[in-house]
Amino acid sequence: MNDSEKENIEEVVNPWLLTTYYKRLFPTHVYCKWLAYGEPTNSQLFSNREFSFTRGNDIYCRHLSFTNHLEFEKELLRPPIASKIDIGAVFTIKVPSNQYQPTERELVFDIDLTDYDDVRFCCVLGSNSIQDNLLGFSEADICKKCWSLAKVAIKIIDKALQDDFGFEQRLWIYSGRRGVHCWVCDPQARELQPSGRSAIVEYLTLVTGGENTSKRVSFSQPLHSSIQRAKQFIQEMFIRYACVDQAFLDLLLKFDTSPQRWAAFNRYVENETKNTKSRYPSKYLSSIIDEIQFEYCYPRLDVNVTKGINHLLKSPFSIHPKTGRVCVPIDVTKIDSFDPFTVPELRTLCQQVDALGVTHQSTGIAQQDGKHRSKDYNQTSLKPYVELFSKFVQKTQMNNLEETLAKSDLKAMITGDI
Amino acid sequence: MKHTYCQNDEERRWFLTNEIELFRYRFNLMTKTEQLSYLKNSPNIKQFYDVVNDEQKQELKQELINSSSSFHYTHIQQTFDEVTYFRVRFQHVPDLVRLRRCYLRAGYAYISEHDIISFVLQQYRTSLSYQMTCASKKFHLMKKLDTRIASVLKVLGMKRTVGVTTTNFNENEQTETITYDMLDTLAKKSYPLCMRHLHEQMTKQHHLKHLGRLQYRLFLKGIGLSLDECLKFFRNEFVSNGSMNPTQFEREHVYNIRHAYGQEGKHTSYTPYSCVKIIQDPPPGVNEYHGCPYRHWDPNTLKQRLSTNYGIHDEQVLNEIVDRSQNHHYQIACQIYFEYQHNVKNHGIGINHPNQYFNESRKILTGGATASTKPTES
Repeated sequence: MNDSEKENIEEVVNPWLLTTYYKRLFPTHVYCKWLAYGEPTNSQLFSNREFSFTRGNDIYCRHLSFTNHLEFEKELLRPPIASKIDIGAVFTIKVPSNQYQPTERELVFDIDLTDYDDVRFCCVLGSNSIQDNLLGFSEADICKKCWSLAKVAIKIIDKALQDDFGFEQRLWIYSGRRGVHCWVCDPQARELQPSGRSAIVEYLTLVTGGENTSKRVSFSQPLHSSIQRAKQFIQEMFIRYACVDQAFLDLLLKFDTSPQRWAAFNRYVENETKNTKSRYPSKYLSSIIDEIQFEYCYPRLDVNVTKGINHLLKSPFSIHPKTGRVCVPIDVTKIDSFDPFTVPELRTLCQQVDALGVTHQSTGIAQQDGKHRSKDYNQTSLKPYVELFSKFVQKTQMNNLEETLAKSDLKAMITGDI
Repeated sequence: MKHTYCQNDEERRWFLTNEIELFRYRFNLMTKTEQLSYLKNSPNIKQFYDVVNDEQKQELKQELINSSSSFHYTHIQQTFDEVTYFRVRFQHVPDLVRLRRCYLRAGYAYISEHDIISFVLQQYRTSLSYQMTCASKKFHLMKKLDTRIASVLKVLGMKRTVGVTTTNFNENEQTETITYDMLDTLAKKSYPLCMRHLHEQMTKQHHLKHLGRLQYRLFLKGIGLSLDECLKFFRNEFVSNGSMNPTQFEREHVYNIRHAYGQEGKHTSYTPYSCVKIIQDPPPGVNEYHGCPYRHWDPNTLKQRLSTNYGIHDEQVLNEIVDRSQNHHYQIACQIYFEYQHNVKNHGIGINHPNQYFNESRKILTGGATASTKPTES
């Protein structure tokens, strides 16, 4: 073994590991079924879908499309092997071609914790990258403290998508490093025009403005019902997160603790509100507490990802090129127990597979057998995530089936067949 | 009419905006009963909405009141029982959803009679816009069949251009050769505030976020900085002075810069952003510095920066700039800044484009002051 090979083996991601992962672990079939909303073969939804692969470090291959899952897998493995998979929109005709228009696309959201850098102090001040952060391109990572921000963001956005917009098929994905994505797959969401998409994302955006604005959240009383609801989620975590974990007021003055300071501030505002001669206008006092809490904790969405119908987004089950973690689905019902640091890593998974390989060979099961593959992830730590994903895909297919049936019923009724 | 203005995007948008304004005016003139009967009898609309019945209305009372816009809030609170509520798909009222001015539940927006106009307008816009697209397809066919129609439409089209022509900058105006080491001086002398701010942040932080890069890069191209010089400038800031590693720069930024200059991808040479675009685009977020200072900065920040960083000590000028910005006359504010900076009065040229600002400034400073003496043609 020469030096360069040794070096490659030290890396979290390398072509050999990826080959094993795509061949034996990547849930190709159910994945393609998801995007086809049915069987991938003969599905225009699948064959007209744009994929984009990043090969090696910096070869971007856009406008790829496949007619079935086998073709997809073959292209994944073609060297230089795809290190990152992105999904684009469904187009009018199979890409690439000269004249095509995006026709539909899941409604997607992207939350990245780097967007919170001005209000999270744990990973920014603790590391050596203060300067980087001031420069606006922090390489700071995340920790359990700031993961709370992602949690509350998921809770708030998920609830709003369900209650306000009536979307039922929401797939949350951990992006492998510092963020989460949401894929809304209801047919109505997929058909949304850019105007509808931007309306939704702006409805969900409350923190606006950069350094040149003194106030980033502005409320008028009474609060809109969606803000009321978000407020409950934020209040649940604010003291614990901002005061205790982040100690956000400790930065200002070192004596006594953040929770005490925050409580004192609350009392002050309350007294001022009662005081009829207060030097602050009542309009200002009534919202100030909420505004501060929201500035620190309310979800910050990457607006452009949601707005563009053909914006690329990293695919579920892609590998994060820096951390080697798999982009796995998150069970929203168990969001509080989801821990990004226990998400399976490429290297660990491959070791688990390697251990299997020996036992299988001894029992004589053919490696090339298609059924064999479905067993492989079942025996690794990827299993629960694939199961979660399969359940989700099944749900989308059921609804899709119902819809097709309803449509054909309608057609039959119109033509008078019933 | 539709056929006249369907030929390019800009004209189409202009026509749509004006038609919609007219429609809004006419709809607002109607009484409530007339509006209701319009809703009930328009074949394109009635299938898309429901009237919320009283029982449900009372049930949702608190939410409906809390979620109404602040203009109508007090009014609705007092007259809630008389107000009619409608239920429509949220896609049909994107403007209300965007501003959180309606109650949303399970994909439906609940809107009061005060806001129903949004829904009607949206329907009207959709149908008109669809008709325009059809018209533009038909237009080419028509032109071939009968040349007379085309000439009639051409005359009609000219009517519109009176009064709304935008003086864009002329790309061939630059006479100087600009290299990247001149940018610092130029920024102080001839940049509009938006670009000056971007330049300063760039040299201070040695980095700019995506939208800032886009805005600044195209401006640089517009002032005549060659591709090579532009690459040098960015490389110098990001890599030599900043902390980006050279391979990352080569990988992520060189392509984009070449792309902006029309050397990659579609090979379109992109035009620099106009004021209107900069003002309307998404406002700058955390660590972002793009946008129009008069539009996106707080009045206080603006005032403070102008006096401490940009050397405007004349209180009257300062107040005038801030006033104009607060009244949404951003471009006029920019013009006042221009006049102050160049010590000219009533320069007479509206600022419509950062590059136009730059060119005008160069003209004055390099002596070719023809524009300032000659009255503008309009």
